[in-house]
Amino acid sequence: MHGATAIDGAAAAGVRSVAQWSGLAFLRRWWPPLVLALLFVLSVSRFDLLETALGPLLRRKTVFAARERLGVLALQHLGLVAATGAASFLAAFPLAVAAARREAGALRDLLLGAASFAETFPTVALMALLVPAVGYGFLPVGIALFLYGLLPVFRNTLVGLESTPPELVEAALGCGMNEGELLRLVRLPVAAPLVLEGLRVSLVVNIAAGAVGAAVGAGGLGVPIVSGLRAFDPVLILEGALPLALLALAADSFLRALEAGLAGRGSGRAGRQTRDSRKGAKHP
Amino acid sequence: MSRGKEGDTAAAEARAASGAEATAGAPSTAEARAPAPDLRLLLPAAALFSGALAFLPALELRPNRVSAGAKAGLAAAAPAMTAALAAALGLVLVLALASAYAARVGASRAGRGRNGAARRSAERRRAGAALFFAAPLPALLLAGLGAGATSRLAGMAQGARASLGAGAWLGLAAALALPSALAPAFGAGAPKARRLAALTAAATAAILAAAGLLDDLSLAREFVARRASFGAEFPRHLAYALFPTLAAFVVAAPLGRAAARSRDWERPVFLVANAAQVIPTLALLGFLVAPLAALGRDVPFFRALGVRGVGWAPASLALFLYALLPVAANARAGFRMVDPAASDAANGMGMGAAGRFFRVELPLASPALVAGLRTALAQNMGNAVLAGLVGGGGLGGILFLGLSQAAADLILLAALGVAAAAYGTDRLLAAAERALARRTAAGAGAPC
Amino acid sequence: MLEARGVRKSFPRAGARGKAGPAERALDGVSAVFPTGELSVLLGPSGSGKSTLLRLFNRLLEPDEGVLLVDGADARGLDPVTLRRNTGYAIQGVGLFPHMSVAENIAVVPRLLGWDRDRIGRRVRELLEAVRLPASFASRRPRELSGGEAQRVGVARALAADPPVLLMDEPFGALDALTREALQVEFARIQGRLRKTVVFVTHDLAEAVLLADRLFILREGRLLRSGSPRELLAAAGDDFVADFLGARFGIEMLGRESAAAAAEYAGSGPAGGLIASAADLGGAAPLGPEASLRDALARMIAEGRTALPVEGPRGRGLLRIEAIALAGRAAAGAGGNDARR
Repeated sequence: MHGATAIDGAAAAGVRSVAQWSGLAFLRRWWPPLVLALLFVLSVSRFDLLETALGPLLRRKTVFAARERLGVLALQHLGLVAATGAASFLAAFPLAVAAARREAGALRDLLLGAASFAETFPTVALMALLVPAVGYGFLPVGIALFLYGLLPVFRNTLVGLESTPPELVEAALGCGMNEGELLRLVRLPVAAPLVLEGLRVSLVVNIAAGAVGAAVGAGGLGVPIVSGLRAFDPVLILEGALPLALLALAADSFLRALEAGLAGRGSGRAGRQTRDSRKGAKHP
Repeated sequence: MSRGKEGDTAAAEARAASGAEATAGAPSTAEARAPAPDLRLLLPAAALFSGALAFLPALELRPNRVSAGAKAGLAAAAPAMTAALAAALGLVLVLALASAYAARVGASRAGRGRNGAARRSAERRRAGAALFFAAPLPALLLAGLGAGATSRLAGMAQGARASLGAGAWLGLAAALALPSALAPAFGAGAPKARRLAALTAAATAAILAAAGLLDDLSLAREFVARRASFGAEFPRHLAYALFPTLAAFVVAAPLGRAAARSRDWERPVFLVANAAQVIPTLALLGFLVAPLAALGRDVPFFRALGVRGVGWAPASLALFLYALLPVAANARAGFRMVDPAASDAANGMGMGAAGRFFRVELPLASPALVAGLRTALAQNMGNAVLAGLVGGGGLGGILFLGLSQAAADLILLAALGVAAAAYGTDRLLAAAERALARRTAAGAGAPC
Repeated sequence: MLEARGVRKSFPRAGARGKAGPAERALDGVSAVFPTGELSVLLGPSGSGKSTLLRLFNRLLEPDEGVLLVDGADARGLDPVTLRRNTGYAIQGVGLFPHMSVAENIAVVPRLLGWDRDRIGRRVRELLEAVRLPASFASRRPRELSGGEAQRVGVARALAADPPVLLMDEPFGALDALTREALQVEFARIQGRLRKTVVFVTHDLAEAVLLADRLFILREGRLLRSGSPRELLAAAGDDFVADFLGARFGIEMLGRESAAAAAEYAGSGPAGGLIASAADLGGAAPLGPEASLRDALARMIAEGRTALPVEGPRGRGLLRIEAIALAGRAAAGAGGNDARR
């Protein structure tokens, strides 16, 4: 519908959310992902600082002899996860919306069952089995990450859409919404935090699985870890493990902050305000 | 490393279980459809089954276990079994179509028919017969593939292998989808029908395998060749999953209860548990290598235990850490659900703190605790693969061995073992959870 | 005008072990007319089919048999979405959309109808005022509202597109007694002004008597009796109806009658010595013009008096306890013109 938010109340709400985005309120929600992202960048660009700091505790056995520098590996990892994450979200989200339709019938149960079985199949095995078909390198890992990234988004979106409180459905239908409007104006916005949670799990899983991809020659931050485990070199392992862990934590906390923002729209301080102002409100 | 669902997601799933029912009861112009097989799934699945087996190679015949080979269709390799499969599929289709037609005719006269119950039970019988033929279809397909492999390998050299081709995999997937298409005919009994069909397929496949009908398939040959190492590594894999998870349960369940009662506990507990869950397997192992190596080197007690930077110690510790979040999250949810009124009532009856805990709180929270254990254990059945990465053995050891040899059959065998262990654990504990929830009756239900 | 003709409706009942059980009959041949501009209350115990009947009128449910007429047109011939956009609907759980502000919630139907933003903004302000919520509430989220406030927003949302017909399913059912009463009075006031065709479901006798122009008593899917509250008070006509309405019915009826209307005034009628007896009342605070006979009775009991001064539209008057009894009997008698406040 045109001008969907075209009401003056929305303008007032907009003013308030601008206030939330500014200054301290912004920092209160977003400092964990910001700090973690900063640490990630530091761990990639200035690993030598850590090495000097810990000095005698960590004695390097071998010099990292991979062809690429750590920064390149980090970029490879980021690119792989971002590309596959976006692709699997774009594929899984419409699929879940379709499966949540009443008409989907048995397809929904089948997809959900298949997803929960597929999830138990080890990622690294799928990557390895794809190698004979598509060769070594990024491709088998990319396909595997795409497939594994589908599952959390699909399940969470489906669950979110199906768990719309029945009284909201009744109210929406009673207001004269058709199925499309019900989905767009009620079911999806109510499910949004769960959908984001699915995206978060999907990304975290893919960051981890992308590292394992080093085992089939995909590059990324898994490379120093795998070489380090082979050579039993703790420093080399740490060179990959630290940025990898920070990347996962940063992605997780970023999406958590986003989720919290969605779930708590208009709550928080305003809630406390309400209780105070209620006393003043005129009640006939 | 399959990083399974988190506790949060499990909770959401439970919400959906109740939400789905509620939505079904919600008003809509689309009135409830009469229970019937879902033809929009059944027909494509049947078409995929027949098409895959007719047009795609079902078997790949290779001169040895790692090289590529020639393709063969199922009909050519095993004509008799192909005919039997076609007959079974035909029966399923006829019965299902009859049931769907009867349901549609019945629906147009709904609400008034005095013999509605009798008609419904006739439909149910027809759908049941269709399911009876559809459920063992995947196993029958395997038998056909086994027979084809036997006949084709007869003229080939000793080390020759017959592995499954694209047609076989697609056919198996389609055959496994058939019961899902038939299940809606059983109305509220649909989940039970699907479970029954899955069990039937697994049992039939096991019987066929035991009878030696599948022996000539490449996977079976690989298994026979590796029987001894499988015999050693499978129990080790189970132990990797089981003991760290149990240890995590002992630690995290009380922490979850503390978190349910105070925010002071909740914040640190979930900060740590969540970080442990989020940090990638490989990184977590990497972090553990150096400290554990130091411990094993410098502390006699740990050296005596055999703690090293690689091996069982980092694997077990990582698995322990992974299990913390699902257990703690479910415990928190479970103890939060304990009705304060029930606690008050117990207090009023003069129960002490211990009595209140053991006789009121624990029984009410137990379905959630079991749910947490289930999520953690199923997840760790998959995660235990990581032990192979640090030389700790288990099915992961076999998997990485296959990876280094580029032996697809070995990789697949290990992966299927892992998936079966994880999925089986999940289903088994889900059944336990249902039983427990039924016993706790109208009370708690399954919160997570 | 809404009309149901010979409507039957049953629901499949889930039987044991997931098998479909015998159908449950919710409506068993109901015929009723809900006149334009009147507030019709469907009253009955739970399971009597009153909500089912209500939901047939905006086609959230379809009848098995029978016809539903909306202004003479068969509902089956109307597009359900259009029908619902022209029918206000308020339910017990309120069903406010949690992700929308109060203003957005109220604006849902106008938005669906494609109104322009100025018109929507005006309408939202108008409605907030009509349900007596401050304009600052427009940007609040539903979770920041109390139960009563949320219910006001629910009523405002149902009224938003100014639909001629309003369906209300126990809209005040989940509120505490005080808030409920305030909202009932408020709604009666709004309805007195707007004169919508309202069908209102409740199982609360006091609410039904306070609001109804016309009462419809249902039980087990059948319409037992219908008529104005006065008609029903005069003749229940049925043991169940008499039992269900009970002895309290007369007292609840007093809640509809204005104390001022029943009072005697010095200037009119043979009420000599009125002012003298008012002086005898020892300075009792007068009843306001809004007070009902039930309020008056409550005050008399509380203060141990048999008469109270009344501040009425025609000046100060006196209300004696006999006048209350007479008003009750008059109400039960001819029916007469309804002295709504």
